[in-house]
Amino acid sequence: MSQRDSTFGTFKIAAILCIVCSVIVSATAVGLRPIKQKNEQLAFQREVLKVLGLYKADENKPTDIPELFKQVKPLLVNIDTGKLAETDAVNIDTFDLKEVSSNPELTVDIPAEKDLAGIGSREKFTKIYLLTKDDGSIDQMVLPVRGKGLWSTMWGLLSLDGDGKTVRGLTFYQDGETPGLGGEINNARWQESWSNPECPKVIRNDAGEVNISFYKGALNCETPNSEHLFEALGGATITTRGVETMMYYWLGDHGYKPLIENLTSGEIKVAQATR
Amino acid sequence: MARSKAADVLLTPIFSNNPIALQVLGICSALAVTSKMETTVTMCIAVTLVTGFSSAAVAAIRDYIPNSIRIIVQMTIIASLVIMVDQFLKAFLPEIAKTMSVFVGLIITNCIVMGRAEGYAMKNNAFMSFLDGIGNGLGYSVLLLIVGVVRELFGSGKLFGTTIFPSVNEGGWYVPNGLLLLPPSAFFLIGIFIWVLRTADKDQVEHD
Repeated sequence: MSQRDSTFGTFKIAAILCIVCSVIVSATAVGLRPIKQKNEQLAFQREVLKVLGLYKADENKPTDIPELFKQVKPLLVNIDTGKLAETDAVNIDTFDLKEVSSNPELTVDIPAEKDLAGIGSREKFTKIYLLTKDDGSIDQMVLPVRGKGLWSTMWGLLSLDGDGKTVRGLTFYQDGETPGLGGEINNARWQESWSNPECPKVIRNDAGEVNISFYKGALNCETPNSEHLFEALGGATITTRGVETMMYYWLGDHGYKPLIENLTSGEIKVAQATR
Repeated sequence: MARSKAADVLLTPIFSNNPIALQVLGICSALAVTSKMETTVTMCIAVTLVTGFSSAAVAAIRDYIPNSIRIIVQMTIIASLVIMVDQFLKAFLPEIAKTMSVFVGLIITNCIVMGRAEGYAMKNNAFMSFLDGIGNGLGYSVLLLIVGVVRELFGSGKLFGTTIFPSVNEGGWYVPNGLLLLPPSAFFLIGIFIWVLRTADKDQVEHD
């Protein structure tokens, strides 16, 4: 037939179309990237506020985030020493956990027997968030945690009380678990069960060891040992185990234990932290 | 003459040749996004724009499209537009984009878009195809909005998230009909809509 339907013509049109379309698509993606990054940053700040209990979905609007976030004190710390990070390798304003945790120069390998969370390596430095009381003591500390679930790495934030062992909140900001089963880690009701003020959850026993387990069935304040028990997710054994091992790793010796001790004992002064 | 034809192309798909009601195209997304008005309206605008611009783009290059790969060419154009819409939503309406998740991407597989590109745009000029695309998008929107209003109003007693009927859970009197929040309810509503439309306009009834 015509030149249009020849083999060469077909390939030519296909090639031209692909180039034009890919230029348009990539131009849009690149052009809108700064706005999307701004949104992601706001979304992350909202998660921090949510885990601190300062942001309620039905009371606050996204426009409140920058104002609310001013109360929160970000802090750059060295996980190994448990002290404030004194380094130029990372900057507190531009700190991006995903970027840092995938940079071999800024991570340490986790010894296999300690790698409970199944993440292989962890960052040397991280950014934590503190909320202080009026007298300057620590009210809550927000620590980034992550671990493997069934399908994905679950990225979350854990908020501990100033005593370093009472849970004040838990949230996950990225995961790829099965919707309706493991995906229920994002369920507000389940997350609230971690921070119910009437029966507080304690993640460490008196000897200072991490002590949590998951309970199948209805859990209430009267259940024996309920302060160390957490509600297991129905139909999501592996996800639940992932949350459990994640806590054991991140709160353990190789994780935040030295840091939490320094924060609770007053070794790290919050005034010093505010820069 | 030309003017009335343009108006015809734009307006007939809304009621007399509605893509969902008469052609029964694109019901998949009509089920998924209509439980809340916010997502419904966003989806309507997105689909209308994609249908309009993809029809226009296909029509503009219709004389150059080799017959053997025409569906792939249409698909590529539609997919590019959908990705653009998705990017814009993520940049400017991140909250809504998150609740709509995969359904924005699934506009690609919305039969209306593809159907208009193949059925109309391949034979008509760019301007008329654009109107036809917008018209069909609006036809889709009308139905989605009706379904959305019914589902959100009677399913949760709200419209655009504002309480109209205070529900029992919040201390009001209205007992929400939970069925309406589930996807199958959209089937019933679309069925009723088609029934009403065909009772009013007998020409639309299909004969064996």
